[in-house]
Amino acid sequence: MSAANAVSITLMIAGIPMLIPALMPLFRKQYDRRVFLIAASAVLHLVATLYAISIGISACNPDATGIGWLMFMLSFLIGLCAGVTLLCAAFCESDGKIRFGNRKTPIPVLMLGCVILPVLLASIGQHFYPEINLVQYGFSLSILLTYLCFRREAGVQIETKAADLELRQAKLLTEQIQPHFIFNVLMSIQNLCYQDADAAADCIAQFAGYLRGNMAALTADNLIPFEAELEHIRTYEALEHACTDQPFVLEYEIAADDFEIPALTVQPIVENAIKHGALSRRDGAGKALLKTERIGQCIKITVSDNGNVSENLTAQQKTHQSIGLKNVENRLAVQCGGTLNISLNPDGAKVTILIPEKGAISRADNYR
Amino acid sequence: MNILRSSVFRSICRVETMILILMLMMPVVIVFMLIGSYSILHFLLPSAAIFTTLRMLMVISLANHLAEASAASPYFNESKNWFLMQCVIEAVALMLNVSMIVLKNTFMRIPHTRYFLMIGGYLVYLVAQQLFTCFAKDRLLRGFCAVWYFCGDDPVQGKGVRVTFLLQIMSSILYAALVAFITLFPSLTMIAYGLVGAAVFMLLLVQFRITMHARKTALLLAALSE
Repeated sequence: MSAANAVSITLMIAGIPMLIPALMPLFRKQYDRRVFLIAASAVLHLVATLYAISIGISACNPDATGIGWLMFMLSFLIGLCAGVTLLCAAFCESDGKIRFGNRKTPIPVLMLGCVILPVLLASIGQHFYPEINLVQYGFSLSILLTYLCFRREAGVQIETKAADLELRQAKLLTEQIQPHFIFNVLMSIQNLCYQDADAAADCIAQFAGYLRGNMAALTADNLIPFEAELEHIRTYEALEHACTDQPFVLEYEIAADDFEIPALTVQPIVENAIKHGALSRRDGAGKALLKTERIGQCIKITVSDNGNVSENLTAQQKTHQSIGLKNVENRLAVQCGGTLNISLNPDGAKVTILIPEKGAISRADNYR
Repeated sequence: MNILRSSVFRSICRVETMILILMLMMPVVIVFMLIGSYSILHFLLPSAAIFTTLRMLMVISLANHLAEASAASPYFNESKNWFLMQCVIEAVALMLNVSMIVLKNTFMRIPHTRYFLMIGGYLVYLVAQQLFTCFAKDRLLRGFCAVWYFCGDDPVQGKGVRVTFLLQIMSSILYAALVAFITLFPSLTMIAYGLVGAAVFMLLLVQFRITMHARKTALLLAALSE
């Protein structure tokens, strides 16, 4: 084995540890398509490198026809595929689609530089020292730098998402503190003051509790126990009873309550079910139902009502979601990987929330 | 029309200036190699590869800014698409370049592949690259004109833009023809180098004028927003 061959093999072996960070996500359960593409590129490059090392060790002459030539061409083509895969990873957007033009986000120039420049510089080095195989090492460096660049970008995305979440929470607070609701409660309390001072005092305490629950939601970064959300729902129900003359019933079928959810996710849905469902019935038979159950690895929360849903609704109207519900859906998805589904039937509306039981996908995992 | 964002045009101006500085390096390298003892053919391939890559990254960065500016005029979006097409061509050429180095160094001789790539592929690449550059710069200049018109600038000023575009076409034809000539007839003379130098000088002039147009657009928008 010549000295140049030995240096080439040493460099190729030195490049293999650089692939480890890019390969690690393959052993995790959650990764997005960009990470997968980088890892796939690392696997292909690893195969190409092993081929090249075996060629170097066996000292096959690729110039001659036969197995040496075949192995070299195989290694070259696999390496080329790895390069194309890495370029695809650079052009892959956060939604997993590979776009060149008409992108939602700018083309990552830094990441492209990380993909191209090390290979280019290595190939130029090889141009001046043809005996030493530098391209394999350069490509290993490319994969490592691309992966690090991706991690950095993912970190920035997490920060952006966290800022977005804060904004959503602020919007949520604005939506929750509705002036007309506050006005109705205060007017009801005023009436109660003349009729029953003790009841008025209870109502004020409940109203304070309701406002405190809303305020706490703004500062809650993490999930809260379902019992706390349930308590907030009961406070809201009591206030609604105090403020409206129209009777309604809110039934509870709580089969599971030992899980966590994002703050103020079920209460706005219950509020919708009462205001637009149960209270829409003029016959006084308005009813809403809050039900929780454990199904497999999921917690299913169902809020249904027997309100009047017009049969003349269009498909678009049936699938329409208010800003509040959209907000709830987004927070469920971001904070605990949950889903929200709404169905409108002639005999009432039904909202179903599904949350993974171990609550429990952290925000960071979603974007890793 | 999101026309009041002069910061986007300042960014475009900055990137155009960086491309200009990068292009300034090209004649310097050629002159250095001519007067030095280095073999020009030995250094031409690597320096061209580095130059192409850096310019490609700059152009992609410019395309990102043009995508932002497309709210001001649809011409910027068209320009961005042509610039990206140009980048694709350059990326393919680069990949062939790297592949050629690897293959050449492994087999030590690849006469047919090399001949085909140098004579056939390189000329197609060169013509396509210059064509796409012309299309992209045409749309870019039209976009600048649209913004100037919106800002209430004298339409006669558009004459300067037409001059820039004519210079661009002339330099593209000259550059492509001369580089093709040198590739086909490697026994170069100093006159051929001189002519290539003239073509490169015209390219630099066009780049400088475009940088100035971008600067003017940014200043006009800044004045309008004030």
